[in-house]
Formats: sequence, C-alpha cells, structure tokens
Amino acid sequence: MNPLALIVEDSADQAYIFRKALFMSGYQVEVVANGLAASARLKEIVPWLVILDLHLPGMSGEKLLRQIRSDERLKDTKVFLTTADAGLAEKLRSEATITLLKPIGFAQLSMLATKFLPQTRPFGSSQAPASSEENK
Amino acid sequence: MLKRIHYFFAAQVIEGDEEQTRVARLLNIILVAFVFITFVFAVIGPFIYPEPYPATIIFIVQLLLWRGARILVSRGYVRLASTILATVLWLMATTILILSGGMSSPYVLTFVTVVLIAGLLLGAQGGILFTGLSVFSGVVIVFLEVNGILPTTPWLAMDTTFIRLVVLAANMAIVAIFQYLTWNSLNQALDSLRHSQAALAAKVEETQKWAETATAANNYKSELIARVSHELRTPLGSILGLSEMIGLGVVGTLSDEQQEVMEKIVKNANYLQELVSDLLDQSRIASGQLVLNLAPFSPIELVQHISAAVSALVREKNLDYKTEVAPDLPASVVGDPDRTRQILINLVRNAIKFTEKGSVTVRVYCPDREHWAMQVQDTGIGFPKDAQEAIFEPFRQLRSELTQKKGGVGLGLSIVKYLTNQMDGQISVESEVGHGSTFTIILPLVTGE
Repeated sequence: MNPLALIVEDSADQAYIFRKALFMSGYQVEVVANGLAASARLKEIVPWLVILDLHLPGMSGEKLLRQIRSDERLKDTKVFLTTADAGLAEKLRSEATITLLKPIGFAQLSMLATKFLPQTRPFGSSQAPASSEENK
Repeated sequence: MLKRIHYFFAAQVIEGDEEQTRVARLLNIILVAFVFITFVFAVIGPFIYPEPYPATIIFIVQLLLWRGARILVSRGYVRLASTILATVLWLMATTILILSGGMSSPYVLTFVTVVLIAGLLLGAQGGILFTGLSVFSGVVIVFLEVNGILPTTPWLAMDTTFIRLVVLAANMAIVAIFQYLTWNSLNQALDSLRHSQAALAAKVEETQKWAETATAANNYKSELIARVSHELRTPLGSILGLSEMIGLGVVGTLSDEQQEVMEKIVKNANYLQELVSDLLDQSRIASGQLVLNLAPFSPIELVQHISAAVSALVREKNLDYKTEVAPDLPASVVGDPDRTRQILINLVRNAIKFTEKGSVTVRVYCPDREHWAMQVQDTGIGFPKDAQEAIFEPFRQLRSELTQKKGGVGLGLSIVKYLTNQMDGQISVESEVGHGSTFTIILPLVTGE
C-alpha cells in the first residue's frame, strides 16, 4: 500500500496537478477543498504527506498547520506549504517541511514528493519502483 | 449729487497695496478734518481774533494741501504727499509760534499734533524725525527770545484766555481723533490678520483633503493592481502546471509538432507570469508593502540556480553564458535570498534579451571586506550615456520599436533598483551602444556567523 498524501487546495485545477504529480510519484492521494473539511479529515487519518494551501475557505492554512503540529498522531507527517505570498511563506518556513511558492511546477512537486517518500516501506517495498517505472 | 460729494471726499484706493491704501485713507481723513477745522476758525475768526486773516490763510493752505495730496495720491505718491503735509504743518506751527509770542504762545501745543500726524502717516521714523524738527523749532525760538530778536509784544496779539482755551480744545480734539484713528486702524489690521489666518486655515484644510484624496486614489490603484495580479496568478499557475504535464507526456505522448506548440505555450505563460509578478512587485513598492525577509543563503548556489533557470533561454539564442565566482566569496551571506535572486535574474534575463550574439557573464566577488557584488556583463546592443538614469524608472524602455520586439513593460530595472536600495546596496551601469552593458550591484556583506 502506497503512503497516503492529503492535498488541501481550493483551486480544482491546482489540486488536479498536485494529485497527478503525487500519484505518479507513488502516493495514494486524497483531496479536500476547504479548511474545515481538512481539519475534520485530519482527525481521522494519518497521512504521510500533506500539501497545504495557505489561502483556504472555511479555515486558514496557517491554523491547519498549527493543528497538525500540535497533534501527536501526526508528528511524522510531512507538510508542504503552498502559497503565492512570499512573506507568509517566510514566516511559516520553520514549521513546515518545505514551503513552495506558487506557481508550483508539476516536475518540481513530483521531484520533491519522491524525495520525501518513506525510505523503508511497511508494505511491499517493491511497489514504489514499479510505479516509478510506469512513469517513464 | 450725493455720489459726487462722496467721490469728492472719499479716500483713494491704491490698487494692490493695502498698506498704501490705509495711509491714503488716513491722509484724506486728516486733511478733511483740517479743512473742516480751519474752515470753522476762518468763519468764527473775525469774532474771536483781533486779526482774522491768518485763520483764513491757514484754511486756504489746508484746502490746497488737501487737493494737492489727492492728486499726488492718485499718481501713487502717498509717501510724498504725507511728507509734504507733515512738513507744511511743521512750518506752519513754527511760523505761528514765532508770530504769536514764542514759547509762551498757546500754539506751542500744535507741535504735538505735528508729531502725531507725522507718526501716523510716515511711521515711527517719521514720528522721530518730526519730534526732532519740532524740538529744533523750539530751540531756535528760545534762542531768538533769549537774544531779544523776537519782539517782546507779538505781531499777532492773540494771547487771551479764550483763545488759549480754543487752541487747547482744538489740539485735544485732534489728539482724540487721531487716537481713535490709531485704534481703529489697529483693529482693522487685527481683523484682516484674523481673516487671513482663517483663510489660511481653510486652505490648509483643503490641501489636506486633496492630499488624502490623492493618497486614497493611489492606495486604491495599488490595491487594484495587487488584487488583479493575484487573481491572474492563480489561473496562470494552473495553465503553467497543466501545460507542463502535457509537455512531459504525463497525459499522453505528443507528436514533435505538438511538443513544439506546447513549448511555445509554456514560454508565453512563463512570460505572462513574470509580467504579473513584476506588476505585483511594483504595486507593493508603490504602497510601501514590499518588505525584505532576511536569512542566510549561499551566493554560489544562487548563481547556480540562475544558470539553471536561464539555460533554455541561452541555448535558444545560442549565447555564450559564463559564470565567475571569486574564491574569497563567503559560503553564506545574510540577506533576502528571494529578492537577491530576483535582482540577479532580472539583470541576467535583461542581458540575454538585449544580446543577439556573443556572451553574457555573471560574476560574484568581494570588492572589499565590507561588500560583495554581483555583476552581469553582456555584449548586446547597449544604450547611450544620457539614458542611464531613465532605464531605472518604472515603465521606461528605450527605443520603443526595438523593445516592442523584445516585449516587457519596463518594470524589471526599476524593481532591481528599488530592491538594491532597500538592501542598502548600490547599482551602477556602464554601457556603450553596440558593444554591450555591465550592471554591477554592490551589497553590504553580512556573514551568517
């Protein structure tokens, strides 16, 4: 079973690009389009990676980031922040695994997501190379 | 009829000079008062004076003075008319005193009126001058008396108690009138001062209102640009990402021609993205919202990143792209990494844009122990010396036909200059038409430790 990635992004097109990039890097992907839904979902699942947009309807990305960081279950979860606001990105840099300034390229996100894949897979480590083979 | 009488007696106005008009009015009031008083004396003179002619002569002199002063004033000689009046009054007072028995004459009081009028019309200096002249008259008369030159019995025998009373009353009346006039003009001056103060306050308020309106309009403009730019960036980001996916073959393999078209789409979208980001920066600069975020970064890595970012552009134009990193450059410097990158990439892109063949060279080095520098040299079209100031202004581009071909709204260099200034750095440029340009940015060196 591939590691789970949660994409929190309100723009459907952006979410599509992220979803595709993460899927092809070997993740299974879930997408939520608003902050409140993301907050609720994060209480149920333990994603390996969260792609978090800072400008969200419902609840701000900043608040969601705090929720993730204060949740003991999610202590190993990687968070990629995505924003167009360089100042805000800078402010939250230390709390995120990576901050990405929009526009975010497909190849850029694929590369980073691959880099942060778990080193040792709990379920069948042969799966990941197989899927990355498919990409080529 | 009334109008004509009014015109006959009314004071004259000196166009555009309030002070002169005020003096002219005083002069007119004084002369009309004198004409009136001397007229009364001329009429009642035969009944109180043994010698009635002097009063008549004085009346005629005053009448002539009045009409003469009006003529002078109408030609703008207010001060001359005032001086003549004061001088004639002083001469008359002196003459009357000599004729009416010297210092013991009741007319000695007339000097008070002379000094008063001179002071009113000619200012403090006039007052002092005519005080001096009056004292001089007194001294001369005393000298004449002491030496027996003045006759012991005056030519005009006017020293009766009644005349003393009349002269005293007349002089007191004159002093009272002038005191009133002084206060009046003082009050008027104060009023006019208050009025102009109020007008000034209103003007200041109006100016402030305009300034507020202008600031609001400017803020609105910046806000509008910021919002529009932001709204443009979201779909642009999607276009870029989606195009990239197609280009990479993620959603299916492309034919060579499709690949080429896709590259053109990506190139254009990237260009649009840069424009929007420049506009956003410009609006942030205009509204003072562009702030630096300081962090340590590696200038060597910065140069490497930029080389990677422009490699496609360089290949496309078949240029020679060189980087030179000085060995003494620190591994890490403190500054705003994103904005420093923005400065360098703007300069490099500009260099590539305006160079058709030859090379673009990027140098990083330390000119001295307190600074580090980034230099971008090209072998492009260059620009004339007199344009070196203009290229840093927003929305300025040289040679419109040429830049139309090159594209761009002309914000790049103005942003570069602004950012450099914000970083307490200096930007300089050397350029020769047809031979190329060299831009140098010198920044204060702060190392990470």
